[in-house]
Amino acid sequence: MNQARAVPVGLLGFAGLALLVGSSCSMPSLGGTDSGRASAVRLEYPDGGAPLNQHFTIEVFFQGIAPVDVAIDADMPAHGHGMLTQPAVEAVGPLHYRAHGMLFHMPGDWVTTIQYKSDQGPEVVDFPVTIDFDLE
Amino acid sequence: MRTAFVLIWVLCIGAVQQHAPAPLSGPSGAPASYRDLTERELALAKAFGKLPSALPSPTNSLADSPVAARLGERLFFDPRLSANGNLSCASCHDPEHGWADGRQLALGIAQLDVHSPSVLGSGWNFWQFWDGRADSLWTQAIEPIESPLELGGSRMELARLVLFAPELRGDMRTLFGELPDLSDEARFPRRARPWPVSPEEPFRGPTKEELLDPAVAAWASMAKEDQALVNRLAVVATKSIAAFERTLFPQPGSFDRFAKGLTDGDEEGIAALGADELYGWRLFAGKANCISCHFGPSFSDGRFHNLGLQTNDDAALAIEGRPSGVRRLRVDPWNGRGAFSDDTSWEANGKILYAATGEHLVGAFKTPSLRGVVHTAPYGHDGRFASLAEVVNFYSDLPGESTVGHREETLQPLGLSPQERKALVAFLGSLSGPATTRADAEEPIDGHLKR
Repeated sequence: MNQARAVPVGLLGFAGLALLVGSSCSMPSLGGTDSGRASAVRLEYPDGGAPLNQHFTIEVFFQGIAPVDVAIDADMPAHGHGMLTQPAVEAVGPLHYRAHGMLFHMPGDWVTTIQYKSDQGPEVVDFPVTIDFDLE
Repeated sequence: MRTAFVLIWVLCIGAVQQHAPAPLSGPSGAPASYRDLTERELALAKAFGKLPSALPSPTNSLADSPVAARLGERLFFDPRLSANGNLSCASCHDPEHGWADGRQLALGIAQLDVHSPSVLGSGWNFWQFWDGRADSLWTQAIEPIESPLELGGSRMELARLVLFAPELRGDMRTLFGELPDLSDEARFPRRARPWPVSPEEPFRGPTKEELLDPAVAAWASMAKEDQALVNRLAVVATKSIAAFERTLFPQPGSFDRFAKGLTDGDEEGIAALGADELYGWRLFAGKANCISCHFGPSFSDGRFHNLGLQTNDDAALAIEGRPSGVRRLRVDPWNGRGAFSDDTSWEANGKILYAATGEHLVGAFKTPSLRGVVHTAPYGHDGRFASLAEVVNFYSDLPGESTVGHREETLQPLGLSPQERKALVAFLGSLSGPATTRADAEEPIDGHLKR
């Protein structure tokens, strides 16, 4: 029905490409940690984006760390609520996870949260994204 | 440690502003004509102003069968499905009341604690019932037939009806194949239905109290294979009711003529919306932000939200809403993963697997479509709003504190002026065409009927 326009804000943060706000989300999003070490988390949308109000899948890739207890969720901080679904997280490989059943049911600002444990302890990485109606 | 992307959030502001409500065109904010609408307001109108088709129903192989829809229509209006012989599906879903019932709370054999929603456009719904405890129309249909509060019937009576009624038997044979013989009342008592499935103990047998109901006791006495046969017959009947309901749509309204006029460049179509309605559309898509939940051609996200309607004033009537619906959905033997589904794959039923029950869903109910809304008063899951003006007043003032879960924080009092309230009500009226009659259901509406 409505294909959302998701914004890879995480990637924008790394690249500093502010002018790309509002572009397609087919590019991966990168995350990082407060420690500033080389470890990173990358998020991808295998179906090309996060569609408004339809289930979708995300892929999460880790670099330079060995994560365990990976949990993936999302919420709308300004609205005080999360998703209406509980995603099923699949370990594709030691550094590759897949979350099925993601659902951004409202337009607006969402934050996908990747929680995991590493040798540095529990860590959380956020990937903000803006979801809008497909008006094209 | 939580990663703080301060820079990213700063950059995000641009994205948020990109989708902020349009600036108002004058002191009142009312557009003088459609030419004053922003590009975004015009694009949204064109995207939403078209009647959608029913969603695919992979778990119901009869969903688009004309024969099933004909059988389903007869069953929908048949009072023989009720224990007292006076009630049918159409008692609460009456064409004379927008295929709802005009009452605050539904009234079957007894009064329910929720309002009867219209079945017009129910084929657009991801979920059925206010709490979404049914994942399809055919799954939904058996509950009101058997509920002692609603029709008080039984699946055995439903099966016998479609086998023995001459006007139904032919279509049933076409859909089911060779019809079985249920004349042995020792094996097939005239009235029999199973005990409710408990989310806590889905595989338990009937309790002593439940066995006091003769219909439950009769079901418990039946052989497993005979129960399965009756279930198969009843499922074909409810899949047929679903096939009929999928042909029921609201009529297009003046908003759709406006949107088509915009698309076609037709000034006559564009003129379908007057000044109040245009202003109402601006408010709907902007300041009032109704499109957060009422979006798309069906004007509903089909999901679940807590509006904070349940307050201390009616604590005794507290309803949990969506979490209870999900618990019941998961153990429903008639859900899309069950033995009677025509597609049990996870691809077809992922919504069952992923459905959440978190605290944030307590007190949440399904967003209704706004199409045809002028014909379906009163409004709200508990029918508390007698008019659309009352609904708009609620969102403007947001009275009371929710005592069941918490009201979504996106809801803030809108503080609408009298002029703004009037405009919103006018716009909501533009989403309704003429009432859909039973005769309309037998003729195409925007080419949607497949019979």
